[in-house]
Amino acid sequence: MGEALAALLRARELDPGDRAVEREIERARQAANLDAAELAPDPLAALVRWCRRLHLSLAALLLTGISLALHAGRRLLPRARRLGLAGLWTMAAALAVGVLPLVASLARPTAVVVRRGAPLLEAASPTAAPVGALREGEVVPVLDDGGAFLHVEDSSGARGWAHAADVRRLDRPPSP
Amino acid sequence: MRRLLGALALLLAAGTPALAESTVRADVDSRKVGVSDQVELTLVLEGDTNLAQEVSLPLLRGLRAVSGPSVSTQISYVNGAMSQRRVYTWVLQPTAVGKAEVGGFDVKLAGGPQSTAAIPIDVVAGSVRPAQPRANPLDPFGGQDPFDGMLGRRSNRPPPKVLVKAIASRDRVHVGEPVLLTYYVYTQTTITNLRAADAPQYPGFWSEDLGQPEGGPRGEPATLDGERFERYAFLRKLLFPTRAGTLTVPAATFHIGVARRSLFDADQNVARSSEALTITALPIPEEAGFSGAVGKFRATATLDKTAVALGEAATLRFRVEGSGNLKWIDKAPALAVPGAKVYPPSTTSDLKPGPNGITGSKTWEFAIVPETGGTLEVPSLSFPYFDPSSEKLARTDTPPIAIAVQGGAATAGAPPQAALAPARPTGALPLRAELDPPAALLPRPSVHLLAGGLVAALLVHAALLAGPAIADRLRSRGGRTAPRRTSRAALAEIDRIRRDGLGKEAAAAALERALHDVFGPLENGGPAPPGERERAARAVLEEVRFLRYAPQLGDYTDKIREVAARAADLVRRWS
Repeated sequence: MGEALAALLRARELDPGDRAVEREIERARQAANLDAAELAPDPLAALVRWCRRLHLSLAALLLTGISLALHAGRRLLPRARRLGLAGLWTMAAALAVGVLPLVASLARPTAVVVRRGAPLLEAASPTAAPVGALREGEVVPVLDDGGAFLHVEDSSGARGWAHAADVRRLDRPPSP
Repeated sequence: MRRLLGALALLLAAGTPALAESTVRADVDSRKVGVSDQVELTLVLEGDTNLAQEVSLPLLRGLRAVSGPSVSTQISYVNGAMSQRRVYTWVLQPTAVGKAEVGGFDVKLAGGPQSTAAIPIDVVAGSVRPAQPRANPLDPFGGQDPFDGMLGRRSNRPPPKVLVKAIASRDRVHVGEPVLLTYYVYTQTTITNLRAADAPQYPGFWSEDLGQPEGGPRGEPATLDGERFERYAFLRKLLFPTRAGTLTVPAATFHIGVARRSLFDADQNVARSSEALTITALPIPEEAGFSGAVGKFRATATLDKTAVALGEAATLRFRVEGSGNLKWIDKAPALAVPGAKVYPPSTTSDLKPGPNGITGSKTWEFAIVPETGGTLEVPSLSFPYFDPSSEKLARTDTPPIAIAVQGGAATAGAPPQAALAPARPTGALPLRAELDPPAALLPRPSVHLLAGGLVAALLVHAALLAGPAIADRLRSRGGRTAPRRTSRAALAEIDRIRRDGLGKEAAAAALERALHDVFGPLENGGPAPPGERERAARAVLEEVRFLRYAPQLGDYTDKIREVAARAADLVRRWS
């Protein structure tokens, strides 16, 4: 179930607009008996997907370009005073649109637990003592990436290191 | 008192050579009652009441005994002759509207058997008489102190008892076999409330809640340790052992509300616990293919159509019905149809728990899509189960079913091995590259690019907004030419003055404004000493002012055009 959820969540990262993937994620979540919050530990992650789905970054850059073009037109056509005003408004819209992806970029990367009872270790070492166990299918924020181990925080707030084979990052393609 | 009378009767009977002839009669207090009323049945023995066999309640039809019998004995002397009388009393409750009947008594007395006639009773709906306490007909107060209930006198009567008992239908079963566990409350008083302190736990069992009996809890008389109680079943559980061994049903605690005994008492809440029970769970065989079904089952298989076109799906329904632990069984039987693709089944069930186990059926529906033409055969499907009555593994099988596939190449005899391979879409298998998401139609700029673009645009806008003002200021300080934009606007304005034929004041004012726009303040005594540019501008400005303030003595159109032409030349030259 953890592998299935990881694949579905990764699919959602790739295509946030696919509603079929959303439905399958919901089914998998119910089958795994996970709370909705356990799949969305960082609210900004939803904003990231929303921005990506609506191409807000591209829209902001396009608006910026349009604004500059309007100002250039104003310079070339001194009588067309409205071009300057339109350029200012377009820039304001570009800022309003562009601030959302910038804020969303503050979201922490997340990973899915793909192994049942994956241990949460005290340190990034195979000999470290376990401080808890992770729930299969749970999405955990990645606080640090130590190569073979990821520093994560589970839904109860416990922080520890998980083996990279037990959790799958959602912000990058799975290793072959 | 009754014992004293009995002893006196025995004493007198021993000393009396002969008693009157025995008579037996039975009657009820009413021949027509409501279904919610109670009937009092009385059997009176008179004369020689020595019994050869204890009196028992006759056959009842449409009635059930609620309490009884209560027995009283009376001895009397009338005109020197002794008579003995013994009265048995039962309280009966009708069970349904209609005709009820109390069968005839067969009383075996020492002097010979006696019998009574059956008593018909007409039972109507509701109640035909006001409820009244049933009392001993010989006791005007029914054995109660008339002031006891009113004044709450505790007297020396013991408090009524309330107990809870859990009773299992059996204590030795196989794993997966049902055990009916019933919780009873035994009471000698009215119960107002009953609830579990904690949800009862059944470690080692899978439990199904059966709820209360239909129609709610019904009381029945019961005797415990020689004491009489009313017994109500209030909770029923169906337990299935999940592992072999000695399993324990832990004690369960219930809070019971007891009605107050008088006006001045408060309601009481008491806690009562059932006793732990031990049940022995016997193991069942573990064999390959045995899914753990325990009970009695029968399997059937049906196809929704026996002829399908090639590539069209047929649905096979494999149904298992019976009584047992079918609810546990999730694994579908393995089904492979040569020459067809079989999809994983969906499952439906209509299982219902009852006191004897879970009964009903479970159905697995397989979609079968033929991949070759001809006649395909759905093989026999088998459902193994453990039969507790024979304590052996049994199996129920379905017969093979043929499917006629229309269209496509028919297979002669057994389909070739290639045809048995599962179907796949024609063409190459999808490669990993095809499984990857399609390239995005629109580029997704990175956050860094977005941030850089926005910052750069902001800087450009700031420069655009503040730049002209700063440049003009610098320019005016340095006495440099007007910006190109201002010069162009001034030339356009001068050209308009020349074309539009304005009045001399208006034309002079517009020219003066255009010159100030281009050359700034041109008054004498400015911040910097005048150069050639300023001198030329001041000369034109002088002419403009002359034109403005000259008396209106003729047509100044030509003069206006001339001054405007000079001003235009001035601007073109110096700006």
